Amino acid sequence: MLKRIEYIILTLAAAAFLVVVIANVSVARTSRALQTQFSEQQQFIAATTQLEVLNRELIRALAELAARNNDQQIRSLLSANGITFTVEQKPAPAKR
Amino acid sequence: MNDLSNRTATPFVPLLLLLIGLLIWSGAQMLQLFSEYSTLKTLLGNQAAPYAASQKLRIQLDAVASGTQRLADQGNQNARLVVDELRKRGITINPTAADVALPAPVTVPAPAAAATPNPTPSTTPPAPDAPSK
Repeated sequence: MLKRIEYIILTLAAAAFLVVVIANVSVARTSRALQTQFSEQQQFIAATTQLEVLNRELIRALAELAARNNDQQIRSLLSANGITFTVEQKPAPAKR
Repeated sequence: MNDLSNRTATPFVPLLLLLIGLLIWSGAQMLQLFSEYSTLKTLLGNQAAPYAASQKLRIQLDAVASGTQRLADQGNQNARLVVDELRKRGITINPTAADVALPAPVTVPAPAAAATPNPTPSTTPPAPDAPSK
């Protein structure tokens, strides 16, 4: 039979083990959730790279058309989305 | 030998050794798990800025694309030109979902005007498959 002190030591050690196991399971679950979130965000960022090219070119094309044809509707659309542009003036030919 | 057989055998020592071993094992596992958790937290923190920029870019693209489609539907010739050009390249705009389906990388002829999207998000991850969100 176990002495009382031996019984207490074993119980405390077993309780400590249980606490550590519960902590491990909890941390592992949280880590897995973080890993999933990280992967999803990484995929989102990667997929946005292609859209970034499209966005830039779309804005450029709209800005060009708006500037060339003085289209106020497109200018408004662009400015409503925080896009401003300047038209480069071609230098006038030098008069002799 | 007689002394050993006469002594009362208790399970205390083997049980204690077993528990100590289990504690050490699970303690080491816990350290490793916390280390992984910490690394993941750092990675997510580093990813926050490009992720926010990506979200901003998508919102801007959705707004511009759906606005262009709306203008084209209302009869704006310039918007129609852009929408048609995109359609030729296989890009369709869904104005109701404010969504853009992109089949392949696109290049539009270089413009005369210099447009400045504000703000300009920048992301530099590897090229993915063609997205269709």
